[in-house]
Amino acid sequence: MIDDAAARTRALEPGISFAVRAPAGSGKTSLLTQRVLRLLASVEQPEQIVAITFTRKAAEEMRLRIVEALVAATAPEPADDYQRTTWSLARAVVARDAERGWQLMAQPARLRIMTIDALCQSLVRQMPLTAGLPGLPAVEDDPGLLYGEAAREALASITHGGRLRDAVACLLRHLDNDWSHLETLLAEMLARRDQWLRLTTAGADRAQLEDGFRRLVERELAQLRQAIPADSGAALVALGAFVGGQLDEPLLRGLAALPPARLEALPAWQALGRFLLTRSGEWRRKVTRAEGFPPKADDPQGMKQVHADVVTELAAVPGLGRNLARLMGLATGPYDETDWAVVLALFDVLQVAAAHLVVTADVAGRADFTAFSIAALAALGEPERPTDLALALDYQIRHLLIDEFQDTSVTQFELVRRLTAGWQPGDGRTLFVVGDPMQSIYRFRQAEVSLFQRVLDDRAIGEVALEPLALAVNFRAQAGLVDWINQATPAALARIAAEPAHFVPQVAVRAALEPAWMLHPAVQHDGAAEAAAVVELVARLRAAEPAASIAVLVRSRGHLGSIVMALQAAGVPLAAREIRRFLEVPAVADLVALARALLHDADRLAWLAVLRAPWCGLELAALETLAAASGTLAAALAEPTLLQALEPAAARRAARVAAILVAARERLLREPFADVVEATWVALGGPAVVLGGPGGAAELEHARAVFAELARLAGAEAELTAARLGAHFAERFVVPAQPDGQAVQVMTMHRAKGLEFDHVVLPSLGRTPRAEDKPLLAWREELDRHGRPALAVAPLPRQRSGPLYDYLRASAAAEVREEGVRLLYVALTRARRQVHLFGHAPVGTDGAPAPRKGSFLDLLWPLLGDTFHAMLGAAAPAPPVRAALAAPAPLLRADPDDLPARLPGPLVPAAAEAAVEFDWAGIDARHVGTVTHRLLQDWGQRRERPPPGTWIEGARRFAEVQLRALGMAPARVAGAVEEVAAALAVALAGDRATWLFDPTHAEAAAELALGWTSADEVRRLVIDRTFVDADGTRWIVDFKTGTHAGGDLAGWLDAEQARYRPQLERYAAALAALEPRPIRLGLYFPLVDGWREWGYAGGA
Amino acid sequence: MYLLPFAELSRPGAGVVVPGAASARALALALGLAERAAGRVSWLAPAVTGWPSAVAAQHEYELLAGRPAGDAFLLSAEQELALWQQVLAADEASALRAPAQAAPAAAAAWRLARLWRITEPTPGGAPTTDTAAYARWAAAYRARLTALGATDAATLLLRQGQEEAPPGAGRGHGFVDPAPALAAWLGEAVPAAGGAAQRGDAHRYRGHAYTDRAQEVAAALAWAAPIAAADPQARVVIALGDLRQAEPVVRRAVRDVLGDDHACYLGRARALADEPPFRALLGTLEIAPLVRWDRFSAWLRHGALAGATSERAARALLDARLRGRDRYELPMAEILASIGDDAALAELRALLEALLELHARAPRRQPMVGWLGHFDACLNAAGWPGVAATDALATNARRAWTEVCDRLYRLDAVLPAPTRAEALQRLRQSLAESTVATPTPRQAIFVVAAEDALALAPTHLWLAGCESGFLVDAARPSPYLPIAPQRAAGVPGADPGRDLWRARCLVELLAGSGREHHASYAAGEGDERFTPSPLLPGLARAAVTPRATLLPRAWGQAPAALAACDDGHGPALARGHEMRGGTAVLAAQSACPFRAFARHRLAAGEVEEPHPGLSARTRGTLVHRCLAEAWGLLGDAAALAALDAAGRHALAARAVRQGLRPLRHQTALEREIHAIEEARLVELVGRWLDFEATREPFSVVAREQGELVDYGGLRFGVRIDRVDRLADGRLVVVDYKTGACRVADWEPPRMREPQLPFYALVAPQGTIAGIAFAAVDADEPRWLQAPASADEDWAARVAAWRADLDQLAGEIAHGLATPTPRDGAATCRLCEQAPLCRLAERSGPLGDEGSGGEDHD
Repeated sequence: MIDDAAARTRALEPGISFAVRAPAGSGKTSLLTQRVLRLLASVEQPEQIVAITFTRKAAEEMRLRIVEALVAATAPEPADDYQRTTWSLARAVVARDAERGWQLMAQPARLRIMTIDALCQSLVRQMPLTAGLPGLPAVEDDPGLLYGEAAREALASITHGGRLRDAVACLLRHLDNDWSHLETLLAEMLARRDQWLRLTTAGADRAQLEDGFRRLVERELAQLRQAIPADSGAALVALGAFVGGQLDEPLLRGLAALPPARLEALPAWQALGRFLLTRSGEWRRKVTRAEGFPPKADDPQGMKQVHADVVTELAAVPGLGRNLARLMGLATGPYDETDWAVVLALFDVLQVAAAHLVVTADVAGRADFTAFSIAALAALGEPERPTDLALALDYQIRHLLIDEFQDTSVTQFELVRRLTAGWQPGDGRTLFVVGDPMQSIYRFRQAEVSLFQRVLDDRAIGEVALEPLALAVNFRAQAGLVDWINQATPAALARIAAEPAHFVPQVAVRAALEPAWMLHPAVQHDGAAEAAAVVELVARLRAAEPAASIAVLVRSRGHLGSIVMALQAAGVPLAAREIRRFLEVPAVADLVALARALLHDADRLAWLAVLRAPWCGLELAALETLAAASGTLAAALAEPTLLQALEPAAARRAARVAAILVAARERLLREPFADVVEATWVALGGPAVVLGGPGGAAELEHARAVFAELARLAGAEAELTAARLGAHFAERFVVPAQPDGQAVQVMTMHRAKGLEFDHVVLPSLGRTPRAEDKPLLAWREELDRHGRPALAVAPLPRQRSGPLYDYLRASAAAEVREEGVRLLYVALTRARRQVHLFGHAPVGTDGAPAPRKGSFLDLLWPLLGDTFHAMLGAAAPAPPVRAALAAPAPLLRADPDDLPARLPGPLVPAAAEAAVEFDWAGIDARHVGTVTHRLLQDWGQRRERPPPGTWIEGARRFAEVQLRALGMAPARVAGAVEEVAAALAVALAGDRATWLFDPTHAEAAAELALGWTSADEVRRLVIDRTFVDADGTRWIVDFKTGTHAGGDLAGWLDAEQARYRPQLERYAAALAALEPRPIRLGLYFPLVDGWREWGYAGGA
Repeated sequence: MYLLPFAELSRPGAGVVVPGAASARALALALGLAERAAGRVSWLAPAVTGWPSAVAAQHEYELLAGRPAGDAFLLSAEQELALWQQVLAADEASALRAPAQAAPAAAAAWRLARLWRITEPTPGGAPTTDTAAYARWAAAYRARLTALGATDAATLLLRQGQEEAPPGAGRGHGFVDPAPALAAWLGEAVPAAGGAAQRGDAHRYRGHAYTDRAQEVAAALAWAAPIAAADPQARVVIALGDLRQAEPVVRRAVRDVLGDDHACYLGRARALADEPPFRALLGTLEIAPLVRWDRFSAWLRHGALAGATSERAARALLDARLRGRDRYELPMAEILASIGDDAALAELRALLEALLELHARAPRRQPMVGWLGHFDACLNAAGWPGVAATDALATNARRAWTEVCDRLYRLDAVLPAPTRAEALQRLRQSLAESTVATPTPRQAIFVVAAEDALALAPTHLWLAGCESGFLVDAARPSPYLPIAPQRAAGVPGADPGRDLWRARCLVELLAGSGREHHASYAAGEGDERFTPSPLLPGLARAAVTPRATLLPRAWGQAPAALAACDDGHGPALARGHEMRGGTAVLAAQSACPFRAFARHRLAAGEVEEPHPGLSARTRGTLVHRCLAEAWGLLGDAAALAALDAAGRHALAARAVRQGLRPLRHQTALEREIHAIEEARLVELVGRWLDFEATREPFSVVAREQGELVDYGGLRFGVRIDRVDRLADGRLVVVDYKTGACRVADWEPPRMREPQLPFYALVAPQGTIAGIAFAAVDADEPRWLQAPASADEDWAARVAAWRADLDQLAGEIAHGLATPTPRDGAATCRLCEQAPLCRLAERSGPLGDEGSGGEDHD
């Protein structure tokens, strides 16, 4: 047994940086936790340690582990070795905490354990301007709309003329003027701009790209040349010379040695390839005169046999055929003039699209994670020219730990390099990266597995030297399973001709249990049969081991077929995350149709769907009658004669729904869209029909989630349209309720990473994944031995294929295949006890079953093939049959008498106090009125009053400042101040004002604030002026600063009195509740020296 | 800290200054509800204000008192931000793309520096690029304040103690650890020990744990409701660590648990911009000579416009028609032309003309006040807000609009005259930042941010969202000020020790009074797992409450008994019935009987959504049109053969010019796109002619020819792309294909492409030599035909087609409409009828089954 205890101990050395390979089940998180504890005991502040995890969930788990360790440190020393180590490390931290006053236990958030995205955001927040995100945007989790908008804006640059116009036009021509397609492709490119942005920044340099292409091809030719065994090489040369002579092919005639690994020799290699490989890239087993081989009678040298022998020998060299095939279509010049024009255009448009994305994000105040990672790099600066980070960061990083390092992207790698730039050996700062290259499965998120290998090879990241360590003990799985995976993984890698460089066999701690794996073979894919078999297996496992955990893992969601439905039908408790999409839930589909109908009267499909849904249940005949009417269906429903044309029962159904929808449309004016949809759905009987249907309360919960989403969508700035609604709910998954007890977990293999189960069921291993979409730009960048980058790029070809594009994509395909093996490895290593393998292998022309290329079953075939044959036995393979669709079940509908009859009225908030509407032409007069009003209040509030004239002089300054603050044009201010002064002079000189502001009045108050309540509201009222006169009458006076020009002042004052009567009587009612005095009400108009008064009748 | 007993807050004439406007709103309401609960109809109300408003009141008082310090005018919040935007936009060294977005952080740094008395860096002495930029901005802002004769609230605060407080000036309340300048301004604080600021023990909180936030908030509301109902004097407060983040969940839970939005007070109100009348308001102001289809569509159908009710159907149909034109941007002239003299759209026409007139009359720049007048005129022309003036909706909308205008026209004091677009952007921003007036809740349940809870002096308190970062995560130091002085000053987020002390104080002060104390946390959200805050020891002991089904109260309906209904057939068609859609109905019937019924008998379709550029449908139509033109010019193969390559190219160019004639290009974008299309089509048609030049002699006897054909008891309108007569006099029926096509598409049963076989069957016997797809592909032009060779048994093939078409026509005639997609999910993938066919309900999701079980071969 390999004892990796030394490596585990070594990994805790606080002054040394490490790169640790930690395979599945090797206790990686525990090791990380221990190292963080060890480091905590050595730092000044806990924030000086930053631990990066792949997910927020992982971060929280690690934080919890550390806190638990700190809590446990106060308990007695444990007996277990591992726990004792953790205990003693934690005790040291507790002591350090006490010494430094950190209070970590009370503030675990001080432990900086976070995702790399969170780290980027933190860096940007600390240097937003340097980072290029000065607006500190919020994170946009769903940036598709931003990408689309930026792509559209970039393409719209076609109207700007000049070079950009030509570039966009070139691309549109290249893609058959298909704007939508180009926009979609551009948007997809924006999602991963961190990969290409730096490649395109300087524009396209033809010489540089052609040189990059040359170096890539020559490197590949060198590998090819080297891979050909010497004997085969000699025979191949002879064959080449023979064929050259036969076909009069100058490239081969007289061939004396294998062509050199030079781009110029590529045609010669391709000439050899033409008799070695078929057009489809398979080894050519038979040759004819067309390939330069005469019939046997004319072949005294037996060259056909030589050919057969050479092909057999070369076919045994892993990957050789595929590598040669990849080169067959290439030309020595990667670009003709047309191609090059497209490359130039693409570089320009991509740059512009990225720039538009920045602006779009800036304006929207939201940015995607990529923007933050690009910004974080900018904040850090080039390692050679770092920014003033040290001065900006709240805490200096002294120890950086990175988990799941195999899933690091190039950008993230660069971030680590820059964060650690300038770190010197022995300065106490350390880097600790840990991961398992065999578990790198996030290529679609730009994970670059080769980076880990590079780190192991270089023993460094940037300037920081890393000591490699490897863990080999598996604590998770039983020995039988570990041994089988130790065999299966190299075999699978060999199957795709990949080097097993990333795989390291493991040693189990747990005793072996038999059997470790079970095969469930089939010769054809039959989803229903497979689902039934999975259900039967799960039932058996649950019966035998009720406490055991079981997971069903699939390569892609589509591979689940009807397994989830079958498990549900069998009553198996399920936890199926990210499996069912919203629109696949009938209740959700119905209410999305309802939302669409309320969104647009002319959306016939939606209106018909509403009428056919269970809450209405119109049959096709009735729908056709309504659909025949001209105009919208909404209008048709409001037409009594049309409803009368329906069968009475249908008419009743339609009339009920029509009434609800008419009321709903009125409510749209008053309430947010999502609220109206919900109210309408409830009125239609949505909850009742869902509860009565097969989905039950679970579907009702999904409906609830939809309304929450709908509120968000409808509140967004982008207009809500049927397409947006549909796309949103078609892409998102429902979150099912977690059942009680031990549920069977159903998920994709990607989601299963980091989890473990007793039994792992792997269905559909015989199926292949969907092909990846073709990107707008394909590229490949490699560093040579001298660290020089070799870059080749090719745009999406206009035709179905393009030599360089296909070549670059084929290079990527090899990576995809290798990742496939790693994904299978991840799936297998989730099991603690047993894996159950379901798969089909169609019967080939030779009568033997053979799995489809690219399937997981094909990868495992070397180990499973014999068993597969044996288990199928002599059973005659059934001919392939297209799966027949089950006859649809009948439509379900409710009885309208069981459903609500109408939509309740809206919740109408009480009208606020009527506002004085702006008279725009008289805005200055309004300002004058406002200021005058305020000054009169001040006058009223003064206990000691100067002579009015003196006070008015002082008030001028106040008026001037306030009028300026109000935005009055400077040229008008002086005049307006005079108007205020004049109004005050008139007001204070008059008898009315003298009386109003008489300081001898009893209980005089200005700006008297009252609280007032009615049945449904609590309100604050402010009375301009109130007092009790000598007669004991309470006066309530409001100042109104409106002005009136022209004649009939009295009429205007009467109108104003009528307008403000309710307001003043509310004041009176409020005061009447406080005191039993008679009350009179008055309106004072200082600008026209007007007055109206009346008695309060006590609310009568 | 500053904390007054609740009873003291309502003392007549007293003023209370609280940490912010949100606190002030909540407290004023709480005081009012308490008075109501005590049976009072009215009372003398104390002034409750957030500190910035209190500072403004003091400034006004000083100004009225004529003190020298009161010379400057005080910037409103909008003015302050607008000034910062100007400063940032003018700073060339920063080269900001969106100064409006960056301004709030700069303004926050300015305020923070004053409140915490941090010495700002000078441009030459700033340690980092960011702080150096801020130093420049601050200098420029200061200069602008001086030039304007203005000041701001934070600057005023620094002058505390120099002036006499105004009568009734408030006492501080609800502050745990106010910034030094604020504390000095507030004056003497209540001592921490004893008196009102009695601190309780964090152990007083009973801990709860829930599976997620929705469950947690629902539980808190379910706890609050009976308390508030039973005790009108109670102030039941649910305080969240991060209310902003949790707002959607809270809003939803309030409705679920309490019934509707007005049941309790929620500390975050909805934005005015999201309210229906204000969406219509913005849409109205965006009407311009050129409009984007989606904006115009939403506006056109809005109920808040003049004539919206009477012209509702006509407007919806107009919108559908306009969308069908495949134009991303619509010139208003075209829209008006589409409306024409349609009496059903008379009000819309008048409204658009009025808006365009106002738009045309508007100057390029004018002060904000002018633009607000212009906007108001637009709204009046549009009949906004679309209901009677006596309607509460109209009153409230008008009032809110006036208040927004009140704030916006103050910008003239600090801004140069804006353009219409700039003014509209300011308005948009203001509407987004303004909130809907909060109605009085039915019960004294307050859902507020944790920092606002203290001022409310809860009688019953539930702290929610108490995960590990509770009260310590949200605060962050400013990136524009050096970190060291911020840490030294104790700025929130800069010093963990001070943050922890602050959080503990809040928790303990809240524990110091009231009758019930609960605390809760969510154990997770999605895949994430959360741990409880150590500040509340009770949480660690709480077991996670099992997840409960959360269903809104309003959804309380009994399960409906659902009856099965066999709806697989529509009515049978009368003999001779003319099918809409011609032979496309046969293709649809072949793919799925339901699809055919829905599309062709119910006309069930989606409303189109235009995209920039030309749609695939338009491009396909153009190809057909141009080829028809080309063969109209040529006539037969001989004429084609007579042309050399240049001649063919010239002919293609001529045909394309004629074919493109109906395209209107009214915008710059359309002109560019159409030019590219023309070039593309010339190349495509030219290549096709090159290809056809190699065929055996033929003459084209029909192009795009339409006719009515009886078959299977039905009448089909058909349009044939082209018919060629061969040298032997027999005919070949041709269908142009610009996308994928295969000979296998003619294979029964249930042919994918029954159109050409249909022609072959209905043509007079013996006249048809074959059928052909003309695959018009610039790179690989192809001719796919049947019979494939002279050896093929044509009669047998025709017989097989007949059997297949008889079957399809029979199904159509009998009204067969079962949703049975021919190739399972592959057929359904691009079908729009899913909402109507209800297949998922009947068969469950098809997944990838039915296509042989393979995703990809």
